[in-house]
Amino acid sequence: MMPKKIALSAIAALSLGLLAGCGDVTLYEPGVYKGSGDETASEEAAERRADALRDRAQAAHTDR
Amino acid sequence: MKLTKKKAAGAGAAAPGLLGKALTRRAFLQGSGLAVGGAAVAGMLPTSMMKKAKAARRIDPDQEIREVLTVCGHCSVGCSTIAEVQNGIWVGQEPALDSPINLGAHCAKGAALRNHGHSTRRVKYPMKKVGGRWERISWEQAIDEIGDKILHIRDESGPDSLWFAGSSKANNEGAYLQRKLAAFWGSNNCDHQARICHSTTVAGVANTWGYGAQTNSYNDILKSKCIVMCGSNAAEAHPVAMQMILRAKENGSHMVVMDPRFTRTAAHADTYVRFRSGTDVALIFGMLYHIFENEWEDKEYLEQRVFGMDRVREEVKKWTPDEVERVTGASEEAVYEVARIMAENRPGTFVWCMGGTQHTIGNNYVRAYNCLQLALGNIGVEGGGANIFRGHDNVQGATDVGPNPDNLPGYYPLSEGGWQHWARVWDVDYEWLAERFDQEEYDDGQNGKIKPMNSGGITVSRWIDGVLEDKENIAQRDNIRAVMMWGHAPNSQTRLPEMKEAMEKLDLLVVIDPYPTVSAVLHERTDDTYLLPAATQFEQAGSVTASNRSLQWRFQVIEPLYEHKPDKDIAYLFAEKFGFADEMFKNIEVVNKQPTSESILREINRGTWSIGYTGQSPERLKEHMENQRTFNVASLKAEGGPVDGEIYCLPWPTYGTPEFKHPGTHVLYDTSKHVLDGGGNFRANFGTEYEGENLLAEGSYSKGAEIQDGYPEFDSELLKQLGWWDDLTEEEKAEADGKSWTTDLSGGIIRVAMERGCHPFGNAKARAYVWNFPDPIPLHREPLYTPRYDLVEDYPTYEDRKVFYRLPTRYASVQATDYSDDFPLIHTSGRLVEYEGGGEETRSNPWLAELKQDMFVEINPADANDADVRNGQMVWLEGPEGGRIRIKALVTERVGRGTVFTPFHFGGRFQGEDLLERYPEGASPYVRGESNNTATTYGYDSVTMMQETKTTLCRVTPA
Amino acid sequence: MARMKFLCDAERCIECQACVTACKNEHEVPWGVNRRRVIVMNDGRPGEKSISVACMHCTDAPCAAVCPVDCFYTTADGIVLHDKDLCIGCGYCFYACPFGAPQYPQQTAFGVRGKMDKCTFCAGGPEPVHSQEELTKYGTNRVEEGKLPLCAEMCATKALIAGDGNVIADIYRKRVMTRGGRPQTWGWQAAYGDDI
Repeated sequence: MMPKKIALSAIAALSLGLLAGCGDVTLYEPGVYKGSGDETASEEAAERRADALRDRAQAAHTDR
Repeated sequence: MKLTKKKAAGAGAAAPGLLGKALTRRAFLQGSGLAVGGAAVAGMLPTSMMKKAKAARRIDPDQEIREVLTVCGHCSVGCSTIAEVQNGIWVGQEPALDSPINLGAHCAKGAALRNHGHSTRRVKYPMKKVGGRWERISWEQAIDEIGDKILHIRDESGPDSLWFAGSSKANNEGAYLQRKLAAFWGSNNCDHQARICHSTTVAGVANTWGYGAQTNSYNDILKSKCIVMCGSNAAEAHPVAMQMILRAKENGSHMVVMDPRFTRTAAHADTYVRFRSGTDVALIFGMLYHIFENEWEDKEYLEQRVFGMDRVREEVKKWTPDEVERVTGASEEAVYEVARIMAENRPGTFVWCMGGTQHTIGNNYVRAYNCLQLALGNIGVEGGGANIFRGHDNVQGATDVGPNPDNLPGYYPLSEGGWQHWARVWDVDYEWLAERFDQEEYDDGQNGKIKPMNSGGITVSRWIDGVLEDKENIAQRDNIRAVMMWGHAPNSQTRLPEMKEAMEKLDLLVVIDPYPTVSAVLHERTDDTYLLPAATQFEQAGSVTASNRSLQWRFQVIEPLYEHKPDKDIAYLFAEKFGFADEMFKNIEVVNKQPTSESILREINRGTWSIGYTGQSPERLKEHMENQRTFNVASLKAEGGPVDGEIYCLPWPTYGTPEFKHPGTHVLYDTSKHVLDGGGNFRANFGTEYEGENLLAEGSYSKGAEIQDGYPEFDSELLKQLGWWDDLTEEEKAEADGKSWTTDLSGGIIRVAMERGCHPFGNAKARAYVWNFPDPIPLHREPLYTPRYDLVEDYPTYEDRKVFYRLPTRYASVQATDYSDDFPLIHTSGRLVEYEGGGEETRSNPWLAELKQDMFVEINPADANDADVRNGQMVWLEGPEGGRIRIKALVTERVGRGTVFTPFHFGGRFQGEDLLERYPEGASPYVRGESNNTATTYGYDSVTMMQETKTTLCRVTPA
Repeated sequence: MARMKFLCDAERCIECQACVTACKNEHEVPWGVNRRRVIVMNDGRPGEKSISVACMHCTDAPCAAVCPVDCFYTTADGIVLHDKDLCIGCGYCFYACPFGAPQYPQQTAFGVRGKMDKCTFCAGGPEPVHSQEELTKYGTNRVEEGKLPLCAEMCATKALIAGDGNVIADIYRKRVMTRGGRPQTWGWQAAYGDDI
């Protein structure tokens, strides 16, 4: 019997250890971007170019 | 031109572009060999192409990017674009938003221009065929060998045994040198694309009211209340023109499209009228019928400014609604409706293109359109006009100053007077020039004799007959034995099976072009065949005349790739070989055997008084390009800035010397403006009276004119009679005495006339009745190959002619046979937006080629069912002269029942055979296909030799 | 905050394909991959209409919603981009996209599907701006230079317009007012019913 008990507790301990070690996986958030960062995607970047793009749209698309 | 400099955008090292191998960060992807960019292209494109493309982007971050303003080379709209060049490589293309013509816009071709700076599918160095194989040779060897052979042929057969096609794609300077080269060689046997494009327009409108050109402009359409397009598919052929047309439509203008085919242009029209191909005169006179019937004509205008409309009116009476419907298929309601729209919405503009010109009676179509616009008083007004959209980027310029067989630069005649004028401009002895020509006399076709110097040369539409026709029947010393195709696709001409035969019969064939073209592969020649690499438009600088007559300066983007040479340099090399370079370039600056474009334009300026190509100095043109933003889009007039008050790029006529500062002419014949402000009236080019009737204008004159009535053209005598002679300076008097406004090299006569508010070319009526044409009143005549043989009796074609442009020309003898049972379908043709002309250049551009990979025929579902053909199936399309093409069927209602349509841009296949192996290695276009002209037929306009490509017959059977 | 949008005015689109070749030109997109296409309805018949279609940079992009590896992101001004290093080329986004925008280059002769490629609104991707990597994987970055997508800037008739949604809506509204009729842009009736 002893070996079985030991085995069970060992499995339990191992499982706990495994679970603890996999904390990142359990925290997986679906739908959240997983790729590299893009420096031009930020609010600041968009703000910085907004005026130029507005002017460009007027210049390029209006019927002069 | 260096406009601005800016810091290179690239931050990394050599950037390979998307065609390159992927950069991947994850090991398993690297291991798998997957690439991020596509490799689908790998199977289709050679590796050299990929390397070239890789190198194409911002290659060196430390090198500055140069922005060069240039002009698209694909149609006559004249779209500017900005080329970004780094380290001599064309790395980017930006929209030229400041251009008043296109406002940055492009069509598929213009937006793909940059590829011309990279294409490897070119003829890369001079080549010749030796035993059926292409071999590389040097330029020196090529010019030497070709020159020797041509000179040998000249010794045996005279100067007219050489025929060459110049190019509407050359800039004005290149095209002018092509004409000058022919003149110094001693022959009029040169021609270019205008012959098969708008020659009937040029002859028709020039003989009606003065100049052979678009009267208004693309931009001026913004002021039109009605736009009628007949035989023009601008959405594909002149897409950027649609910007102005659709803007006008949004502003309330009525847009009408009349076409046998429901084109992509028709898809935008308010009113669309389908009619049978080849019946425009009947259709237009059907409209005039309603106009006269309802008294919608502009009576005051007709009385003051038009001659012969009463004679036209008699003919129009015959075109009752019933007869119009019988001939054209268009209903009374439809025809009346268009007439009413035009009458109620003035000014209205009338647009036509190849659909109206490429016919055996193309000159009649053109004059019928003219009569319609004159009756409504729509010519010489803003928003009105005959807006003739021309084809190639410089076809107008090459017509004005280039290689024409029937006139000299500026439309000076081939008579002694015309030659004397140019001999003076060129500063050569007239007698010496005359001796360059064959001195014999030949049949002039009018029961007389004429010297080749004074007779129109063989046209591009007929050169094959100059080779194949029995020598006894040709009005020159011998057959054509040597041909140079210098910037001309042969597959845009009809009768390709006979062209193949002609090419094989020649002693010498020389192709001068950036691309091999169909000329390199159509035939099975084994020797005496040369390819010379000409530079593209972007590898040379010069002026280029858009359809609206503006001369834009096209700045050079890159140095010629490989061993390509600009046309002007090639002209110099031949002149040198032929031994007359010193005379020909006497007053042209030549550096290292390269004539400068600026000095050539200045020579053009010194000679072309007749059409006002005199004021457009290179300096003025460049200044206009640099100040594009200051021009008003609708008026094309600069508002403020350094060229205040001038019209964009000085549309001809820009009379007088550059110093005279004429602003250019936006709208021709416009009496509401002073002549010094671009105003005018109809030209007095045909005398002052005809059969006792006055030809001069009556009570109509341009604003501020001192002569408030009609008057003849100006010469020194008229100035003296008017008492204006002393307005000339002493130097001007010395030059002008005994001269007319077109031959006075001082420009004094023009200056004095215009300063007194008068037009140097006089003030006359337009001619609705052109007595010097075969049909003075435009008549309907059935096409040579007509599906309505029952109408031939009522509307027969002409009698055959023994000598016409030196060649026998058949009409009645062709029409004598009824082919309509065996060949029941009308075969008409036209453009696709992706390709241009013969298409070799555009089919060698992968960005365009990908979009149209198959030659096809549009066929109506009913006709397809009759022929047992399904959509997408391969079919044989066969013409009545035996030519046949194997192509795909596109079953569509775009064409009506009984009509099929083919595009004319394909080449590289011939009657089912792939000609790939005949191209020099690596120089074949990405897309090859059957040329539709393999299946087209005989038929030539009775005034200009325009070929008939819009109405012939065919049958379609499953392949 | 501005949101970048495309708008294609079907009354002006003439099927000239300039937008398609401009895109090829700007990004050197290989043969067989079309980030932008011109779609024609009723080809050759009365009622023929065309519009130019590419990624529409949806606010709540279905491609991003279904992506199993979450490789999509949206810039602060509303441009939908993706990371090609993460993309596994599964094609689920193609399934989800209402516009058929995602493209898959054929990688080998055996037809294995490559990583997804699509219109970037000329705004590059998740690599350093104007770097070799960005150019290679995504194409040029015009937006960072203050320029708009080249397809729209070169449109033959100014049918395809691009930029700050408010600005292009203004430009378009003015045209509609000039025409004096109801807006005929493709999709308008479908979205708001025929009786607008």
